[in-house]
Amino acid sequence: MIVELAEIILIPIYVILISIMFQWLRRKLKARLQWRKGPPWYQIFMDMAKLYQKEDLIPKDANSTLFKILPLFGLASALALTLFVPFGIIPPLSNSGDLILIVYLLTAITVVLSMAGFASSNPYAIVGSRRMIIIGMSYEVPMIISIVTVAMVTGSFSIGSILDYQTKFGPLILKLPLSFLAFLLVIPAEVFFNPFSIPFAETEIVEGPFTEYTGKRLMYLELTHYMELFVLVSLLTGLFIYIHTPITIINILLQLIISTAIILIFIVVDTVTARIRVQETVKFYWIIVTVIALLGLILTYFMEVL
Amino acid sequence: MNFLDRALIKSPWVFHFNAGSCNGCDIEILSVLTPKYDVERFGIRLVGTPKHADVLLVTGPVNMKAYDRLKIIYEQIPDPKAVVVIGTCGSSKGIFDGSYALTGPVENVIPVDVYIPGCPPRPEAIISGIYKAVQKLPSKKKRGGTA
Repeated sequence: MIVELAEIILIPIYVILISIMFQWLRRKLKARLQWRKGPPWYQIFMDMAKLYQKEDLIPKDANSTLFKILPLFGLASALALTLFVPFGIIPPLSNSGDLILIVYLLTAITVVLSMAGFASSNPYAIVGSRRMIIIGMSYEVPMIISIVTVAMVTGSFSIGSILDYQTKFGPLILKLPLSFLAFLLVIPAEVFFNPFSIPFAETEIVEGPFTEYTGKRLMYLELTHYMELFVLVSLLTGLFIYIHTPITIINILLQLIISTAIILIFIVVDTVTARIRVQETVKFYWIIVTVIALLGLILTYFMEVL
Repeated sequence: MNFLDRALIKSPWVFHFNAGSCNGCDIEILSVLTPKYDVERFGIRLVGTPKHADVLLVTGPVNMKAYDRLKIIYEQIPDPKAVVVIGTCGSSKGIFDGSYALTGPVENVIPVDVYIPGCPPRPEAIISGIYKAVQKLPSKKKRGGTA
């Protein structure tokens, strides 16, 4: 009981700190790859503390209730996710069917971020939000198919049983490489890294859905956005690359190392690629990634279930 | 200096407004973002919207078309904020002095914190000017309550 309560308090703090450091890693590595020096390690903490002190401005034409409330909804969804996603340990609130809840909360974040843009009634924000919804419609399907494949093999929609299964039979990436690949390809679009940074295209539509936000509310939105990356990568490692050792600390560190390796790949791709158009993104996800995910599902069905 | 004041100094986000400049100063602003000068090591970021900005960089003598826009953009920046004028034109109208189309210099339109003279100023001078403007931010914060 006491251990679980401690986990419920400590895990969100851990996730926030690690997410902020990953955001710093993104900016630093990007700078180093561009032959620049890059910001110091505490830069994102300073940005957050600065935004917290800034004045709150609400646009005259905005829907002020939604404008005020949506950033909190986004942060609440992200914090709730941290209690269901495995960070190297079995999550504290794990029970039957929590994988469905995770998919729901991930969609909630996308919907909240885009609704925040619509509520601010800024033309740039509305264009950004619309692009966000279109991309969301294209990556959700392959993500859900690969999650269903995992559930089919393990026979459960519960994160706890999926981790137990991998403890017994080894990481699922060896059995389901195609589903792993589909999920891996979904993450850059979900966190809007290049070449899928279409909703936040700063050279065309200013800052996308966040354009009108200032101060504390911008901080909540940014934090939600940062946490989404670590949560998604942790979900990927939990579902496919869970390596169990008897010592908890080593499990957590191992998960952090694997996540960092995956995020480093994303950051390098983020730096070296340019932004593609929204139609190309939709085609990429519906034609290539969905087919990979479906192929994984069908092959697994014939090999494992029959 | 406490942590919150330090955060204001360490993370200035900059918005750039061209009030009828010849583009010389604007190119110098872009040059401070390049690998040679890289202002991101001080936490300085060029943002696309005044709502996210802390420091407003103004170049050029303010002509009549830019007058209203400069005022609106200044009002859209959330407090605490600072204004930096880059180049001789914005500071004193420069060679455009006496023109019928000007309402400038910038100090006639909005309050200015730092002037950076030069035509155009060197990138080092721009970095130094932004640094001096940012030092004023903690004292501009409204005391008591969260801004």
